[in-house]
Amino acid sequence: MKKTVLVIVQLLFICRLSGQDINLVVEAPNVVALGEQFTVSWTANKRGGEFIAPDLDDFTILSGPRTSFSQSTQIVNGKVTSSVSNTYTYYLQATKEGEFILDPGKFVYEKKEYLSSPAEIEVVSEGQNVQGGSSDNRESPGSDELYVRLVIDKNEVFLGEHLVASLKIYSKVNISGIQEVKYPDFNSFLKEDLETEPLRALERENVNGSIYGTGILQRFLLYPQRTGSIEIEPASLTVLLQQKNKSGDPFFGDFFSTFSNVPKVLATMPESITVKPLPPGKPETFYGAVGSFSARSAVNTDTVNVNDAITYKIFLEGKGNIQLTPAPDLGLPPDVEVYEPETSSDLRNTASGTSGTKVFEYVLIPRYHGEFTIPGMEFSYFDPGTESYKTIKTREHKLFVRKSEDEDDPATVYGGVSKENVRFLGKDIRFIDTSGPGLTLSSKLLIENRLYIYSFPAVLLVFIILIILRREHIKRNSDIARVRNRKAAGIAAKRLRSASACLNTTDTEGFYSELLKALWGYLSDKFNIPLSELNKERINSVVKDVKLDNELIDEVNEVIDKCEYARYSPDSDITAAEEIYRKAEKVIKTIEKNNISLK
Amino acid sequence: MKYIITVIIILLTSLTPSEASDLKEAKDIYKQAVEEYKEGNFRQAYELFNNLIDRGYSSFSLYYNTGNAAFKTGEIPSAILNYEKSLLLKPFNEDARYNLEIAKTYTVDKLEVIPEIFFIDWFRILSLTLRANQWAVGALFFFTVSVILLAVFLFSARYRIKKLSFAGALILFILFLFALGLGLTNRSLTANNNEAIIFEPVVTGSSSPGTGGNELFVIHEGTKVEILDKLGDWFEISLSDGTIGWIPADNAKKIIP
Repeated sequence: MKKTVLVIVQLLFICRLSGQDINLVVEAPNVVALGEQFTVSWTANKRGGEFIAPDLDDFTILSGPRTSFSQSTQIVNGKVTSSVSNTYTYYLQATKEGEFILDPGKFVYEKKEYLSSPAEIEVVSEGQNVQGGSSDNRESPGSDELYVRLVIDKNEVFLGEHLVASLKIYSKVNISGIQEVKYPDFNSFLKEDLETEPLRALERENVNGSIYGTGILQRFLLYPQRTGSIEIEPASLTVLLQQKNKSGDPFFGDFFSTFSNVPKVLATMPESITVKPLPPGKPETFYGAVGSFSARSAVNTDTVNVNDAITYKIFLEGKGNIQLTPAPDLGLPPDVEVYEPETSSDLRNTASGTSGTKVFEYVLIPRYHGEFTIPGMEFSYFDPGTESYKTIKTREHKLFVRKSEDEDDPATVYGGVSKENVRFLGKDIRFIDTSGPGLTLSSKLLIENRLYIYSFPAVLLVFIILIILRREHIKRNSDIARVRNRKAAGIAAKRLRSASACLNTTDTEGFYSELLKALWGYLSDKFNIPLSELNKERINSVVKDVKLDNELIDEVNEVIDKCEYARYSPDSDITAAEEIYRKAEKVIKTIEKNNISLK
Repeated sequence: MKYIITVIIILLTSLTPSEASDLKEAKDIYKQAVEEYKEGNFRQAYELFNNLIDRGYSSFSLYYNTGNAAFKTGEIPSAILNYEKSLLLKPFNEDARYNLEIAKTYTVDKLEVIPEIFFIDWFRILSLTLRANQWAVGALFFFTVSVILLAVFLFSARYRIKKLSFAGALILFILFLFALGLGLTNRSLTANNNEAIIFEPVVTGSSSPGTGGNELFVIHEGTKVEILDKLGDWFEISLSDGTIGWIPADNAKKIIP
C-alpha cells in the first residue's frame, strides 16, 4: 500500500516536471590533458531566460559564453511538437592538474531557478598525443595504444548471482569503424544482452594516468550455471584504423594527402571467474533463485460455483535470476483441479541484474462444493548481499465453492475429470528401517548338526522299545492269577510290616487283625481263592490238594486259631503275640520257599 | 504348541554372557550407524553397518540399512547384495523390494529372467518366512508328536481315541515332511545359496576356467548370477537367460545372509 502511494506521488512529480518542461543539461569532457583546450556547454530547452555560469576559476576562459539557439518544429499526423535549445558555450583551457568539479549552472526563467547537474573534469599532465594528432604517421599502433578488454565487474560470485561483462575498446588513435565483432560463447553462463547504446564516438577516460578514447561495444548480463573456475574465451573484433597515405603528393606535399582505412584484428585476454557454490542449509522451497525477491498472490474471486474456473495469480517480483524460477507447486486439495500455469514475465536486464515481475497464472476448477484454502506459496531465495537464505510467503486465500445449481448430476462431475498418472519428481530409495536392529549372530545350521540328525532315529528307537515293553506287559497281565500268585509274598510282607508296627505300639487288637489279614490275603492270592469263599475248611482242602506237609498245615491252622482267639480275648500279652508273628512269618516263608503254585 | 516351539527356539538361541555383552556393543554401533545415516553421513554409516556384518551379525534391518547406505554412497553392487540378503530374511518386505528395483535400474546389464513355476516360487517364499533352524526344530517336534500319537493309537483300547490319534499321527507326519522340506529349501536359499552379485565393473565370461578359454560374454557390476561350480579360483556361472561361462571367483560375492 505504502509502495503504491509512493509510486503515485512519484508519477505526479514527473508529470509536474514535464509540464514545466524546463531543464538544463551540462556537457563537458571527463578527462582533459594539461594545457588542452576544451568546451563546456549548458543547454536549456527554453528561450528567454537568464543563464548564470558557475565558478570557472580552475580553468582559463579562452572565450565565452557564446550563445546559440536552435528550434525545431515537427508535425507528425497533424500533431505539432516543437523543441527549443538554447546553448551557452565556454572555451576553456586546463591550466592545473587535478580533479575539478564544475558547480551546477543556473538558468533563471520567470523568477524561477533551474539547476543543471554538476560536472566532473579531470586534468591529466600526460596527453600531448591525445587522440588524433601526432600518431597519424605511425605504421601500426602498439598494443598499449589500442586494445580491447572484457571488463567484468565481479570476479567472484555465487552460483546464480549476476555479473556484468562489458566489451570495451581503448584507443589513442583514430578509429573509423569497427567490424566483425565476435563475442565469446559464455559457456556455463546464462547470457542476457544488456541494452547498450551504439558506439558513435569514443569517450575520454583516464587510464593509469594517460588519456584513452574508450567505448563500450556491448554489455552482457551473465548468470553462472555451475560452480568452480569458469574461463571466458577471448572476444575478437576488427578495427578500421584511419591512416594517412605515406606517398604524399610530390608537389603539394601533405596538403592533399589521402587517408585510408587499415583493418587491425584485436582480441581480449581470456578472463577467469570463480563461482562459489551456495552455502549449505538450503530451504526446501529453494529452486535456485539468487537475488532479492518479493511475492504476492491474488484470486479473481473468492466465491464460485462448482466447476467454475478461478484465476489464481502469483506475482514474483525482484532482482536476480528471476527468469529461471520454475512454477511453484500449489499444494491444493485433490478436489480442486489445477491446470498447468501460464507464465508471463515482464523483465528488464540492467547492470544490476534482471529485474521485473514474473506472473504465474493458474486456472483452478473446484470439482466439489465446500470451503477450500489455497495455501500460501513459499518461495526461498539466496541473498548474495547477506549470504543467507530467505523465505517469503504469500498469503492464504479462502475459497467458498457453492453447490452447483444444476442439481441433476452433481455426482457425475467426477466422471468428466480427465485422469492423469501420478507425476514423479524423482526416484529415490526409501528410508532406512528404524524399527530396531534385531541382531542375531549367524548360528550353525541345525539341519547339518549330527545330534539333530540322530535325534530322529532316537525317537524311533524309544518308540520301538516302548512297544516291546508294552507287549511284554500285556503278556504278563494276561493271567491275573499268576500275577496275584507272584505278588502274594510282597503284599503279605507289607501287611506283616504294618502288624509289627502295631505290636511296637502295644496295640494288640490291631496287631492280630493285621496279622490275620496278611495271612488270609496271602493264602487267597497264593491259591487263587476268592475272598468270599475264604475259610479254614476251604484252605485245608486246597492245601491238601497241593500236597503240603501235614506239619505245615497244622502250623497254618494253629496260627489262624491263635490269632482269632487272641483277637477276641482282651488279656493277651506281648510275648505270645511276638511268637505268633514269628510263626506266621515262618509259614509264609516256607510256602514261598517250596514255590507252591496252583496246578 | 506354539508356546512349546518358542520355548525350544529360545533355548536353542539363548546366548552365553560374553555374547550378550558383545551384542550390547553391536547394538550401540548399530544405533550410531542409524544416526549417521539420518545426518546424511552415508559413508560413515555404511562402514559401521559393514563392520557389524563382518562380525557375523545378521538381521533384516541390518542388511536393509546397509543396502541403503551403500546405495547412497554409490556402491550399487553392495546395495543390491544387501537388499537381496535382506529379502532372504523377510521375503515380503515392500521397502526392500522397492529399493532393490531402484538399485537395479543403476545396473548396466539387461537380462531376460525366466520365471519359475508359480508353486515352486511359493514354496521358496514360504520357506523363507522362518529361519532354517526354526523349520528344523518344527520338523523334529512334528515327528516326535507324530510318533507319540502313533504309540497312543497302538496302546489305546478305546475305538474313538484310536481313530483320533491315528488321524493326528498322519497329519503330523505330513507336517513333519513339509517342515523338513521347507527347512532344506531354506538352507539351499540361504546358507547354501549359490546366487552371487558381480562386484567388478566389467567381467568377461570365458568358456573355460583359467586364461586359456575363449571370451563368451561381458557382464557388469550389480548383475545377479547363479554359481554352478567352483574350480580353483574360478566360478562357473549361469546368467538368468541361461548363458554359462567361467569368471574369476573374486569378481562375485555370494548372497549368504
